[in-house]
This record gives sequence, structure tokens and C-alpha cells, in this order.
Amino acid sequence: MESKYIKYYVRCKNMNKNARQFYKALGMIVCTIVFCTSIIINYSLNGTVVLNQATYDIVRKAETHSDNDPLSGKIWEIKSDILLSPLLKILDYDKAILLLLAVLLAVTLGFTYMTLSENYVFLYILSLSPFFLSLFVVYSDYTIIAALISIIAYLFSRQKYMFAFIVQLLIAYFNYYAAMIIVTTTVSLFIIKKLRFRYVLLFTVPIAMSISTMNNNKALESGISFMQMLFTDFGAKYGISIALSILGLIGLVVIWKREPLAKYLFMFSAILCIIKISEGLFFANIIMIYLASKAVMAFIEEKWHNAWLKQISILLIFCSILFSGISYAKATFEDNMSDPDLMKTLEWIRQKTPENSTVLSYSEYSYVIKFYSSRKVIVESEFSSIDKPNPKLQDIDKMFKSRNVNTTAEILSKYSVDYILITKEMKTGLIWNKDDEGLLFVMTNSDLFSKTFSTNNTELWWFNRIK
Amino acid sequence: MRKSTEYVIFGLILLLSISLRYYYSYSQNTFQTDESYSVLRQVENIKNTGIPLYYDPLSYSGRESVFNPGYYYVMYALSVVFGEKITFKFIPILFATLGVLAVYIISKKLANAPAAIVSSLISIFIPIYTVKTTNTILPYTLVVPLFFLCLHLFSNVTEESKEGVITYIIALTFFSVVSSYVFIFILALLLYALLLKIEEIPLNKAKKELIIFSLIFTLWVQFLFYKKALLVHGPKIIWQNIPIEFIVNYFTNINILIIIYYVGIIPFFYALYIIYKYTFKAKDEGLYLYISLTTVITLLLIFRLVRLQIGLMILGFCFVIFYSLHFKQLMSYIDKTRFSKYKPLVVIFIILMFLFTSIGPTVASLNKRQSVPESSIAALNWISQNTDNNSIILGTINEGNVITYIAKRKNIIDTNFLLIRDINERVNDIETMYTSPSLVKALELLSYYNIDYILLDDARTTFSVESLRYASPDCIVPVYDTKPNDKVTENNTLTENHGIKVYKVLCKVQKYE
Repeated sequence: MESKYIKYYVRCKNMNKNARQFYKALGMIVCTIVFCTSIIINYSLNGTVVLNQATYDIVRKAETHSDNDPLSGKIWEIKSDILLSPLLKILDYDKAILLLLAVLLAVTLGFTYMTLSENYVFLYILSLSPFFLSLFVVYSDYTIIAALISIIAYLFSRQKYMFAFIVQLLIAYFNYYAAMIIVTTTVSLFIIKKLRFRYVLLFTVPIAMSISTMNNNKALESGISFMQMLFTDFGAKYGISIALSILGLIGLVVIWKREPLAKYLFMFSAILCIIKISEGLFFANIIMIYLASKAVMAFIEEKWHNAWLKQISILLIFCSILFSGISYAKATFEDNMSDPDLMKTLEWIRQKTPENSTVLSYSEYSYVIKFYSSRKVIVESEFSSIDKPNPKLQDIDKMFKSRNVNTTAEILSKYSVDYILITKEMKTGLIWNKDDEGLLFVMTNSDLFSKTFSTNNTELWWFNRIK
Repeated sequence: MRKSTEYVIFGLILLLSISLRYYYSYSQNTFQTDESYSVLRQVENIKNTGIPLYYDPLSYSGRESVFNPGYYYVMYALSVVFGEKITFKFIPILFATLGVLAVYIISKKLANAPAAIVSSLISIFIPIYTVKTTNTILPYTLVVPLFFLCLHLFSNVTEESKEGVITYIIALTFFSVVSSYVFIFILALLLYALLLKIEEIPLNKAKKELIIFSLIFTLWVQFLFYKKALLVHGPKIIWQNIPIEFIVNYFTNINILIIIYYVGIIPFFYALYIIYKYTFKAKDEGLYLYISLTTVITLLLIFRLVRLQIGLMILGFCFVIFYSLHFKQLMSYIDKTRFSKYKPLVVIFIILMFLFTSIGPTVASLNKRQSVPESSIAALNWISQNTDNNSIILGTINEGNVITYIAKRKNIIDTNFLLIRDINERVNDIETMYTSPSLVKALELLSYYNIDYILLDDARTTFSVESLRYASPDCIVPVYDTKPNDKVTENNTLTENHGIKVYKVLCKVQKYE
């Protein structure tokens, strides 16, 4: 068995060093091309580089220079405005975000390139994964964290532990949980080396499972299955693609004996996903891409009896990763809120409604309402909302579905709602399926409501709280 | 046994299989299931546009569809060569008979020629396979033979023969574009590799590579076909978005009695013995492939992850193949005993025993099965001739496909549930529209679905209603009404009629603004 792995190592080492460098450099170019193409496609489709709704909040925070959201009074949880804020003085937000994304991508790619030694596939898989799109085409705290992690990895590979620790502290500024994960993982890896794997597994998995049950219960109760939170192919916004997961598992098998640390890393990523799905998936993605790259390299370097079959298989692997990436990109670009009718309505709200009025709509529109109309909203869909569903959401959901005017008026008054924004998407599946369902029925048949503005795709209703 | 005798007997067996199916298929002018008519529409659309109905303007009054298009293209190509009548009635008979051929070839390889003959004879009378593939043009007819063709080609792969690898890849590619059940095949290959590892039997390199290739290839192809459905339904895509009310018809709890009833008692018990023997006592690389498939199918059936029909069909074939091994062993055992001179009697006894246990249920089921009644076709033809082209017709799930194919009108439900949101609500709404005593309630729903005509045919039995209770001369009026047992003239033939009504919806609910 040992000799088999030694042979494999020798074969890897024998691969032309220049060829490795060439493929690595080509990987960087592919990443850059994917980044540029995605940005161009999104810009041509939506007229903005902003993809994620949360990015609107980052821009608002950077513009207001305040720790509190003036529209909700809450403390901002986002930190990535720290880099955007100075740029907004000289550039408008679109260009500033684009510049930041490009710089952070260059930093990440640069350090990853220097960290990777024999791994010449990592960058290709990274660029084709949904993870790449969610990190470098959308500006968020995680974009900065990704850049910092690439720096930490580089420093570790060069055994500069003190510098790595300082960078870890920087991560703590952006996300405590992420920093905690990195520190715990690093420390654990040093400790685990002296422990037996099965004992670690014996204790950590049950603990993780129980924490998971506590954390994910609400999300599961709301009808979202664990798989739908985990895999982008099943509709998860920040998940892993199925193709990548399968390749990752193959990669794990490939390096199980050769790189003992891999199994610990894999175990950690699985546990992290179970404990806190959003942050966990971030790290799980990095590890899965690494493992998948190992699997693909094993495919490339393994001598097959039918060489042509091997070439087709490798081509198919890249096609399947590409396919996952494209379908994720398509869904993400289509999700971007820039429907001209919606923009027209939001502009109308900004100009014609009192400044302190509150607008109710589907939770995902909250960021654009705040950004374009500067009005308060009731519920916000956050990156972490899947872990802890907002209790307000349940009230609002009840109101959306209720045909009882008293229930509707009570909930709307409770949250001081003045306007209700309805879009075509909300009427065709997002919330309702029929024209006379729930709130739609109440608004049409009660004199408490009056339609104040409408376009082909949107309706704005005024709720008369005084009545 | 002489080769010529063997071939003659096998030829007669094939002829028997074809004749049996031919008799039951051609004794009726319509197809056994409503789903067959969706295949006809797909072929018709390929004929007109070159592509199948990825957007169907009639199904669910307009919806997107996801499916494996291979089978429809095959049927289209054959209809061009042989004409529609032969293709839609006779070709499925040939496809289904390919299953018998597959059993013969595999059994001959695993056992010997006499055993293969007996097994192939038994395979004609696997109750579920014979009933579900007679007088239909569903992809099942081709899927099961393809399953065993791929297994056979895989088992023939050697490191020396490049042709074997290429033939297998062609068959796998074809299977992948014909059906998503190729996943079961892949699972069987993976389990096969695992079994060989456990038994410490070396897996030849060409096969190992083919397993990896098959896994990657099928995953990729199926993702291409079903990406939208995956996004909409997530992992629940396994249950195909089948409404809760109907899911027990497709994915039901399995028990030994069900298996025995649908597969046959003799193949079942001897298969168990063979599986036991080759799992715990003997080793046979070739047989492990079929043991893996049996295990995978059984597990999928137990966990309700595969449709009962397809699961039992494949299981039935596996059992018949295992039976060939038992037959071979029994014959060699008898040869060693003093009863060897009575061997022909033993064979006759086995065949008789089999006749009593399998042929009976098969023929009984074939006689019991129902095809779409001609009176229903007459009503649908009336709809086609007397209603507006854009009319929407309310029918039950079992009528959806005939409404779109025969009447060429929009339906609001049929058996293709994938990508339909709130399917359970729709099913409940349909029941309400047929059974509600309240005109207001019914009109609300009729207006919501924009229904112009209500077909009361299958609903009589499905919802036990003789007429619509809310029908009124101002609003819901019968425009087509045949009393039970009236004779209906259709294509110059008189057919029995079980009483069909078509109501026209004259009013809609106006919303208060």
C-alpha cells in the first residue's frame, strides 16, 4: 500500500515544474476572466454591479458614517464599509465597489498562487464554483475575509505564525465567529496531531449535532430542508455545489492516507456546517475546493487503461463544475433587484411620501427600499436569517396570508406600516398564487386601503391607520 | 442441447411473448394509460418543430417541463420509418420483448442454454412487467431492457477489448438520454465495486475506469436535464412532486407479499436462495453485478425512493436471472442422482408449477386492466370540434393527457407534476370543483383557473359524483350528455358508454374593486 503512494508522489514530483507554473498562472487568468465576464453580464442585465441586497446596506453605512442604521435604529452588523467609505469620496458607489472587488480578488489570487505549490487545479475549480461568484462578484464582509484567509494560508505555508496570528485578529474585526473558527481549527490541528482520530470524532460529532439541532430547528420548521440550505443546486444561496461535494469526497479518499490532516479538515468543515450553516459553508467551500482539486489532480496524474476515457472524464468533471457555476450565476443575476418598474415605484416613494413613513413589502426588497427610497421597512432578510428566522417574519407572513381585515389592520398598526409595496413576483409565487388570496383580498375589499401608485409590475397601497 | 433446437425454442418463446402482447394490445383501439397520450403529443411536437415540448401550452394551461427526451426521439425516428400505427402499437411490443431477449442472453452467460430457455419463458409472465408494458407506449418498455443491456455490456468489458468499452458507453449514453433511472444502474455499479472489494476479488482496471466514467457522465447529463426541477424541488425531486394524495400509488410501502404477487412466487424464493448462496458461501464476479442491482432496488423500494412499478419490474427480471442459476444447479444435481432418467419429468413439473403460480396472475391482471374508454374519446372529440381552441377543460389527473392530445385543449392538471408549485392545493381545488355543493365556491375556483368546460367522466368514479351539484341553467349548463349504456358512434363503430357529461361555464366571478 505504502509503495503505491510513494509511486504516486514520485509521479507528481516528476511532472514538469514549468508546466505546473504555467497551469497555475493560467488558473489565475481564468479566475480573472470569470470575474470580468460575470461583472459585465450582470451590469448589462441589471445596470448595476450590486448583486447582493446586503451590499446596499454596506453602501448606506459607508455613506452615513454611522454605526446605527438611521432607518431602523439598529446597530449595523456589517464591517466591510471600512474599505468602501474612503473610496466613496472620490468615486460613485458602483465604481468603488468594482474597484474594491478587483483589488481583493487580485490579493486573494496573488497569495493563493504563492501558497499553492504542486496544486495547479485549485484556481480553476475556485473560479468555476458558485462560491467564487458569491465572494468576488458580490461585495461583502466575506470578500475581505477571503482575502485575509489567503494571506494567513500564505504566512502559514512560510511558517510565519506570528504574522498569521495578527491577520487572524483582523478577521475578528469583520466576523467574530469566522475568527473563532480559524483560531480553533489552527489550535485543534496542532493538538489533534497527538490524538487519535476516532476519539476526536467520538466527542465532537455528537456535540456538533446537538448544537445543530438547536440552531437549525427553526429553519427546518419553516420548510427549508437541510439539503436546500447546503447545496446551491437545490436553491441554497451560499451553499456548495453537488458536483463539488462529490469531487471533494473523492478528493478526501484520494488523500486520506497521504495527507492525514485532510481528514481533520474535512471533519471540521462538516461540523462547522452543522453548527452554523452560513459561516460553516464559507469554510466548507474552501476545504471542498481544495479536496476537489486533489481529486482532479489524481484523475489527471493517474494512468488509465483507456487514456481517451480519462480525458472525457476530466472534461466532464470541469463541465459539471462549470454547469453548477453557470446555473448559480444565472439565478443570482436574475435575483438582482433592478426591475425598471420597481425602481420607478421606489423613486415615487422617495419623492411623494413623508420621510418617516414605513413601507412593508417582501423581506428581500427591504434593502432596495431603504437604499432607493430612504424609508423604514419592517423585515429584512439577512445573510444569517436562515439560521435564526426573524420573529417579525412570522407576524408578517400571517398577515400576508390572512383574509381577516381585523388581523391585517392589527398587525399593520402594530408595526406602524404606512405603505405596502406589491410586485408581480409577490403575486405569482413569491407570496401569493391567486389574486384574491390573503392581504390582496383584504386590500381590494376594504376601505382601509387605497392604491396610490401603480405600474405594470408594481402596486403601492396606502394603509389608513387613523381609520 | 443442439444450437438449432435451442434457437428454435427460443424463437418460439419470443413469438409467444409478442403474440400475448399483440393480442391484448390490438384487442383495443385506445391505450391502457392516459400517460401514453403524453408520449404521442411529444412525438407529434418533434414531428412539427424538431424538439419535444419543453414548454407545453396545453398542459396545466401552459407550463415548462423537464424530462429525458431520448425516448421521444426514438419513437419519432421509428414513426418516420415504420409509420405511426406500427410504431405506437407494435414497436412497444418489440421493446418489451427485448426484456425476454436480455434475460436469455444474461442467463445463458451466467448458467447455460437450457436454463436460459426456462428463464426467458418465465420472464414473459412476470406479472407486473407484462401488465404494465402491454398496450402502452411508456418509456418503461424500453428502460427495463436497456437496464439489462447495459449490465450485460458492462460485465463483458475486458482490458483487452476496446470495442466492449465503446459499445457500453454508447448504450449508457442512450440510457442516460432515455431515462433518469440510469441512476439506479450507477448505484448498482458502485455497490458491485464495493462487494468485490469486500470479497477481495480484483476489479479489472477497464471496469473500474468505466464505473468512474459512468458516475461522472450520468450525473452531468441528468443535471443538464433536471437543473430547473432541482432548484424548485430540491432533494424532494426524488418523489417527483407527486401530490400527497397520490404518492401512495407511486411510492408505497413494500412487503414480501407485494413482491410475490407482482414478481411471482417461484422466481422470488429461488432468487433468495441464490442471493444467500453467492453472498455467503460461493463467489461469482459476474453474478455480483445482479446481486448488487437486486440489493439497490430492494433498499430503494424499502425507503420508498423508487417508483414501485419500475422497482418491481427490475426486481422481477433479476429474480428470473437468478432462477436460471438455480435451474442449472438443480439439473446438474439430478444428473448425479438415480433420478437422472426422470429429468424431463422434473422440467415439466417445474414448468407446470410455474404455470400455476405466474401465468394465472399475469393473465388475470391483463384481463382486468382498463384502457381509455372509447366513449371518453368520443366526448373528447366532441370537445375538440365544438369548443374554442383556447378553452380550458377541467378534468381529473387521469384525463389530463387525453384532454391535451385528443381534444387538443388546455387542461389544469395531468400526470407530469414536476415544476408545478402548490400541486397539493391544485389537487384539492379540483376535488372541490367536482364535489362542492356551493356555486359560489366552485365559481371562485373555476374563475381562478379560467375554466370554460367541465368534463365529468373519470370524476364519476374518482370523486363518486353523478353530476355537478352546483349546475344551474344560468351559469353551469350541460352541453354534452350521454346516459349510461347509450351507444356512441365513433368512427363507424358502436361503443359502450358509461355516461359522460360536459358542462359549459357561462359565468365568472367578478371581483369587487
